[in-house]
Amino acid sequence: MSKIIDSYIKELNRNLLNLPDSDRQDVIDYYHEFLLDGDFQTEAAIVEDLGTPKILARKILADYAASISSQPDTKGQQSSGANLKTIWLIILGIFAAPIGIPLVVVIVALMIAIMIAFCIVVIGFAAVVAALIIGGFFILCKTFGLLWSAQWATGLFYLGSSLVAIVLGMILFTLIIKLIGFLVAECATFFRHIGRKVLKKHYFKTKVTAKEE
Amino acid sequence: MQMQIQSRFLDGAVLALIKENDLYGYALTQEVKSIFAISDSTVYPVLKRLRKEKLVVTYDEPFQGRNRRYYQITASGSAELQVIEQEWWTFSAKLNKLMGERK
Repeated sequence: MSKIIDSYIKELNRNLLNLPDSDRQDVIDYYHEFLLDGDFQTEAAIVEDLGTPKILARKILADYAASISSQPDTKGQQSSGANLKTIWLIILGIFAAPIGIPLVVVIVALMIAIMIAFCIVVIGFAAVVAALIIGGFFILCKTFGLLWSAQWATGLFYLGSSLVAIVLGMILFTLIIKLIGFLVAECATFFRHIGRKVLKKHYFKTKVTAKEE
Repeated sequence: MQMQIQSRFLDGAVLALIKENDLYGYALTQEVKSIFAISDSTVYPVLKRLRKEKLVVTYDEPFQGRNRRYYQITASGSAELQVIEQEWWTFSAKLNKLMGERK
């Protein structure tokens, strides 16, 4: 009996690896206790009440996404990594939620559009930075030959120019890092908004029915 | 009879049940299921939310060599329950009046 419960819990855990550790442990502990208290004898009995581990995991993920969607905005306080994780979990939650296919198509299209726009902006800036820094070093190497020749004045000019380019590149680099952080935070806010709209409406408020007496 | 009920009243039912007795997950689920036709997996997210809003707290108690996690209502949980009860009475009084008149 305990073996059946253990294997169910193990499978559930395997399907919840995307959740933060503390949240996963909490939900795993809850259902482990639940199954022991319910004295479930067969796997079929568990599945009848809770669904398969996969189905249960999907519900848990959708609920989790809904709960982080409705969190007050932590923009600026969260690191980019945490923001990306939030976005990822909301995406997973939206896919796990029982919502209509047309809506999923719209959301996927929207997400792809956002990601493409995001990449284009970042790649554009990265190219400028790379051009400045690599170009600067390239010129710097070339000028050393000139410095000790008759054209030392030209060499000096290029030396100065290359240093300016390198420094400019470095300044822009830090700005880009900031910009990426800002964009990720904005995306997280946006995804929270979508999550709230989609998950609250389509998941939370339904399904509760008054039982027949 | 099947009808849809706002999740707010599900919160209210859970709070009311915990207020009567401290309950563990499985027992609470069975109690809620005797009122609403919900699936077993509906209760956990409710409890998690209530706990996050500090309307309930938990404590562990040993049972047959393992722990059972009990849920206990807090002062703010009792206050929130009163608000929900008030909402329910207002809502049901209006409906009772309406349904009564039709007869």
